Amino acid sequence: MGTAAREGAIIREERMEVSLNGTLDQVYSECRRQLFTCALAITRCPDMAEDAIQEAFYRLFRLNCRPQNVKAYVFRAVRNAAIDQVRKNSAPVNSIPEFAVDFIFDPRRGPADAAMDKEFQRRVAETLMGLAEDERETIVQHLYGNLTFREIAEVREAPLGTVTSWYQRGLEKLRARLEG
Amino acid sequence: MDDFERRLLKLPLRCPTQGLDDRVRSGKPEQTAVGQRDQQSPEQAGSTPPIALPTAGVKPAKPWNRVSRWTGRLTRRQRVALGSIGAAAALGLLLVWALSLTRPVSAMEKMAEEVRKAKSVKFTTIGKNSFVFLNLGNAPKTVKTRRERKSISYWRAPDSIRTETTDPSRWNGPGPESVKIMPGGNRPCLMIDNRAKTYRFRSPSDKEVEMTKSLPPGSLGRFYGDADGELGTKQIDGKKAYGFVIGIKKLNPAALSPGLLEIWLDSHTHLPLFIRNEGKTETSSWTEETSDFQWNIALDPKLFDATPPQGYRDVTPRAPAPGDPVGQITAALRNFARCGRYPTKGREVSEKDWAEMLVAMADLMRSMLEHGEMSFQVKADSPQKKIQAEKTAKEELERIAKNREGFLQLWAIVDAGRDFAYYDTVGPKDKTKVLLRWKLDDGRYEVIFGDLRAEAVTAEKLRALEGK
Repeated sequence: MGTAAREGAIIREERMEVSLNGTLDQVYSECRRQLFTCALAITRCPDMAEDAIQEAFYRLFRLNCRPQNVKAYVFRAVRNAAIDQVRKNSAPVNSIPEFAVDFIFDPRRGPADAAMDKEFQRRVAETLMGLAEDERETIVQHLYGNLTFREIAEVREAPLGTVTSWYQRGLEKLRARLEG
Repeated sequence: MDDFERRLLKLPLRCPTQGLDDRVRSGKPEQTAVGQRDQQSPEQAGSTPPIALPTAGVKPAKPWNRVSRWTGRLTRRQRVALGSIGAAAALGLLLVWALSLTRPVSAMEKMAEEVRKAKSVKFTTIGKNSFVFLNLGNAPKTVKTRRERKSISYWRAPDSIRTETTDPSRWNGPGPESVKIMPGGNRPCLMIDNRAKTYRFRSPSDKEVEMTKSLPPGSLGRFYGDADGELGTKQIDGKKAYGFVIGIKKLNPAALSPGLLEIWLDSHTHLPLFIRNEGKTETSSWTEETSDFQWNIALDPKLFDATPPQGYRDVTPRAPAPGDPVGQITAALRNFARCGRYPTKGREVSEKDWAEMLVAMADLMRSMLEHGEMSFQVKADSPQKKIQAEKTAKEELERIAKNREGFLQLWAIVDAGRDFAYYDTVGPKDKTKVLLRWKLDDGRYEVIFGDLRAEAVTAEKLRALEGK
């Protein structure tokens, strides 16, 4: 390979890197909150969820190739990092009862919030915690992570039909327990 | 999206801290361990007070919860791999469990295993036999005779046998009275009669050969299962032995009688030291005691050499001389029918074996008569009785000779592979029932009825007759 060709290849790589980093930055900006919620649903610890996101992006920024679906790839990377976090920190660091009560939901609601809504939030959190892992994670990813079923299937490396059935089954359970 | 989902969507979510943006965009790996951050003030951490409950809500983490959560985080491929490994491990455990449940190897099986490993053995058998002959003399008569024999047997793996038998009351040597040599494999077996100076060859598939092979100790190596009873322990030839009782049919399903076998094993080698075999059929009974076992000794290959001795007469059964098969067969059957029935056969015995057995039985009876071993000859103590006994013996010899001719014709028909059938449920009173039939060269069937009438019939008529 000649010098010109080598330089061309380097430039192309640099451009791709810049382009991918820009996309990642955009995905982070747009999905920051959803990524956090999805990671939180796995780690159940806000600090560990943030660490997972940071770790995932540290790796993502060093990617040499561009994934086909960057958004799904980012969610998958965050999910894997969150699982790693749980494995690394299996023992509870501290225990705050309100997390158990509110799960992924914000416990600091304003005085204007109706007591009934607060009760509903608590019951949703409680019911979500009682669902099967796959069902809970799918509901969180779809409703609060803003991921389509196809994206969830890609993130979870599971068939589309399985993902939709996880979601439907989980939602039915939620509905039955909350409305029944 | 329905109202319920929309209501769920309205719920406020927790927010990440502002510090996360800096940490992500700094492009540095995770540096703030969860435990370390707990020691920082909220201001230092640049975030809201840390809230963390990494495991199952307020409940204390249980090991199983951790496992199930961990497996839940695995990729599908990892789960499949883990599942396969788990299934394989479970199957392995199941197998170990199943093996642990199976009954322990019985002492009999230990013995069978040791016998299977054995290369050779020499042993001595002392047998006492009682035979009952049903059709001697002019009138139907029951005669008993007893024999005591001593045999020295040699067995070499896998299936070579030599048995030297002597009845001390009638043979003083030199050498054994009779010798059976089964070289093994498909080689023909040699039966030598030193007293008559005759020999005959037998096919390895002959009933007589098969029966010899099915006797202990060779058959002990084919045993799988438990003994029927324990006999405790005792000393045999200065060795500690433990004993068992087992049904002969367990060792040899084709055995003639449901007798019992008493086996005493060396507690050290688990090989037989003593065997006692008892049995009884309708026409005979026997007791055999086998001892003086010498396992895994070097045996001279010449012991199993089936070369006929020089100067001896060959009496191997051959095809009968041309004659009237129907007349000879009916004559033999008529002789037999003097005791009220025809020869039995048994389901498990082939026609050829059965016919050979009838010929062999005739040979045996002739030999016993020639040597004065029938009980009616032995009891002839007065001159009149002796004359009568000699006359009876002569008549019986002629009858046996006729029987032999007839049964040899029967054997030749079966041996020729003709379509043959014998119905041993038919008796002399069943005049119209088919006792015996075989196919002729012209396609018809020669039929011998229960009353020993003979008729050549077509296949169609045979079907009608057999339908009866």
